[in-house]
Amino acid sequence: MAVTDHGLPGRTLTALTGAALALPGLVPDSQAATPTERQWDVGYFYYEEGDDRMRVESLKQSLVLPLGDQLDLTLNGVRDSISGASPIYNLPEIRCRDGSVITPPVISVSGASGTTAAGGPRPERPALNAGDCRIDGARQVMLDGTFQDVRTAGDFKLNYYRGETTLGFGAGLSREKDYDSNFMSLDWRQELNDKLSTLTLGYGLASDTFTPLNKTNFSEDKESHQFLLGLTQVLGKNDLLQTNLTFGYDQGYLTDPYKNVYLLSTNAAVEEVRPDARRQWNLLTRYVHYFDGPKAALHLDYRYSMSDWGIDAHTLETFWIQPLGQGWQLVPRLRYYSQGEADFYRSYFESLPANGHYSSDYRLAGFGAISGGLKLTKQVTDQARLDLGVEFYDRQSDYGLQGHADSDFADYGFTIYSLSLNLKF
Amino acid sequence: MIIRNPLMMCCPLLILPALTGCAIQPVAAWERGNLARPEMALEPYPLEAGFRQHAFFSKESVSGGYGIGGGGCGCN
Amino acid sequence: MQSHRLAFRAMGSPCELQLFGADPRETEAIGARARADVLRLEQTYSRYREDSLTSAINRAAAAAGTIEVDPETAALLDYAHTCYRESGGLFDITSGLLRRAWRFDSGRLPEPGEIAPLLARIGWDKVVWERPRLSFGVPGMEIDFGGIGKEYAADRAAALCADAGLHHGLVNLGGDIRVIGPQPDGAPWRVGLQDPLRPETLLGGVLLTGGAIASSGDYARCLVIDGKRYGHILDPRTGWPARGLAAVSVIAATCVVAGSLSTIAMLKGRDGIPWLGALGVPHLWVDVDGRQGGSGVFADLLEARRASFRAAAPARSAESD
Repeated sequence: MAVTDHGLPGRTLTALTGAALALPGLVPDSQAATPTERQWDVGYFYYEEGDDRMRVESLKQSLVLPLGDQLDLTLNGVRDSISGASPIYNLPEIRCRDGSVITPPVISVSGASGTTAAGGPRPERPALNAGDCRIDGARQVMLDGTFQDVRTAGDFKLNYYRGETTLGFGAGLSREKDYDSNFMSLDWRQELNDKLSTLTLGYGLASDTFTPLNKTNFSEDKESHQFLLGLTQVLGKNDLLQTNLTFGYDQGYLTDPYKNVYLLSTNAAVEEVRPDARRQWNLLTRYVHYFDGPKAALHLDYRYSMSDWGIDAHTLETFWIQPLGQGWQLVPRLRYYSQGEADFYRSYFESLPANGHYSSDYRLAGFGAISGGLKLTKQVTDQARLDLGVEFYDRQSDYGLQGHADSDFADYGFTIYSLSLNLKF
Repeated sequence: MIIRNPLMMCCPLLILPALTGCAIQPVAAWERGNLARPEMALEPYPLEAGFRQHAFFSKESVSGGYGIGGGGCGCN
Repeated sequence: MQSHRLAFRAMGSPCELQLFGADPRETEAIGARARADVLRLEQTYSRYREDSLTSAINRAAAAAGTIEVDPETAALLDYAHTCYRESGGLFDITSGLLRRAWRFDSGRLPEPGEIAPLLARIGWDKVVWERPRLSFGVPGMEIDFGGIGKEYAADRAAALCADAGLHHGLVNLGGDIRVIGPQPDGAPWRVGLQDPLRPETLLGGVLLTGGAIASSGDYARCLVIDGKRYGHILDPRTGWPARGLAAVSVIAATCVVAGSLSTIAMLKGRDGIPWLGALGVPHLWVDVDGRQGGSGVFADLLEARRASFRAAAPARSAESD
């Protein structure tokens, strides 16, 4: 048997590894993706808007159960209690030379009942073209604070692991007094390139029914399709990058029947009308980096969104997970969001636009929002982790990048408090 | 403290295109220790993320991108 | 998640399994199965046991005979053959005969003329290996799976645990370590490395979440005569201990590969340093003069060590920025 000179180093490693892998029982059969461990998450979240507006109390739970070597099942449940006031439409404010500020009269409000500030007989609207008075801003008319609803939702997700492929199937439903949603999802994940890359394809369908409380014998449907193409890539031993491209197609009743628009020409508030289809694209990039020095993880997410309602949006979010020792972690977080306004959005309208689509919903206006939060987590035992967090959100029409800064009357903020427990057992 | 180079502040943003542009170093299984840490998961706090995403979805006009699934409104 | 630690002796070394599982009884049962497999391999491949397969092979070898082997042994012989070929004949499972001349407990060097007759009966090239038949061309030969067996057992034990559903744990067979998976919280294992020249101290630790680490060195058994060290890793071409390096550690996906790479590097002596570098595997070397070097996580370790030495040295006046 001839002894060859030791060959190329690369070949040596390949040859040895190949011969080693031929040894029986050397590498586990289950080297690929495996079911998640058994764990239970339960959390209480409190959402509160400023100025005594909306409040949401939410109880959430998520249970992950491995079923044998190739399956795991996730069961999620949530119960939201929603109460408080929300804006219905915007009344222009008329400022006159004599210093008076007049809100124009509202002749009729279809749909939800609004409360205007003016009591007694409504003032006549002064002439706007005479030069003495002009429209200067607007103010929101609120749906009164007796509004209450409870949302109950549950869903399951089943993952099937086979080699380097994972198939997921999920379905669930969500129930409110006026809104029912049934949904399902399918996804396929493939690990490639020695598990350095993961390719994901996903599809989701939601079928919703709206039966607004302010209308009788009225029910409308909406269908939403979502498609996802994602790639997760290990860039180095401390770097991970994910890019997701999603496309959403919503069809059906996309109008919010509780929202009105105010028409200056007729002094009337009428129900808004939105297009019956919407296409939305999102490009999300998430980057995670581990810092060996402080043993901390940096997360950086950027999302660009675009929809055929004319809205484009940027979302930039970052958080930092800093271990403090003895099982404590501190997680500061910062988020910036900016959106342009929808093509059919105006704070109020002179008259109904010809294309038949109009909304004064503050969520379709151009604005920006900055939120910041802090979270403290403590690994209490090997099995249990407790999280406590707070996040402040500040919406300002002039924080936006897209330049539609005229909805400052709709500026507000909210705070989210969270308390949750993670159990691995 | 004086920040001598204002560009330094933009570093996290510049990393993204720089990293995607360059060749990816193969990372062997035994070098993926840090990547396996829970805080390196793309979504380390899924329960909280679910609530936050729902809050933002209810108050902003765009949603989605992070995954597939979910439904319901509660969006006044 | 419960931790289960199992310590035992096998293959002449202290062994340890550290396992984490949801069900303590199941974890314990899996650990017992892994240990049983290690003991089975010891029984099969020990050269000290009369009833071992190795002894049966060596009885055939003594008579220049032929023996047919089972598939597992055949795969080990294939692996040994690959090591021989890739090391240019340095890694040779027939070189164990040299131990007859080198008695590391005797305190003396081999007599002149003791080695040459042994060399005539050493060499994988004197063996015909045609799966599943192994034929010895020269009478009085011997084979020895010592350089592969323990590493192979570590890999198998880890794979057995993983297949049984344990994803967190570590197998340590006398310093040959194969990781099953990171600690339950995802944190890596810290594997301490002995300083080959001062065995009572640690060089430092490396962090592992997967893969394997194996070391080869002369600190375990060596002969010191007139201040000169004679290590137990013997060069089958000369019959004398390999020179130059005191210890080598290698990280690879499997313990078998890590073990043979570290042994081959030792046999190559100082030439082993650039060879390991060209292979691109994370490695650490220490030469007989105490110089150290390495790559990957080991380079980080050495850097951290140097930094701590600098920090420990008396500080000069702090320089202003």
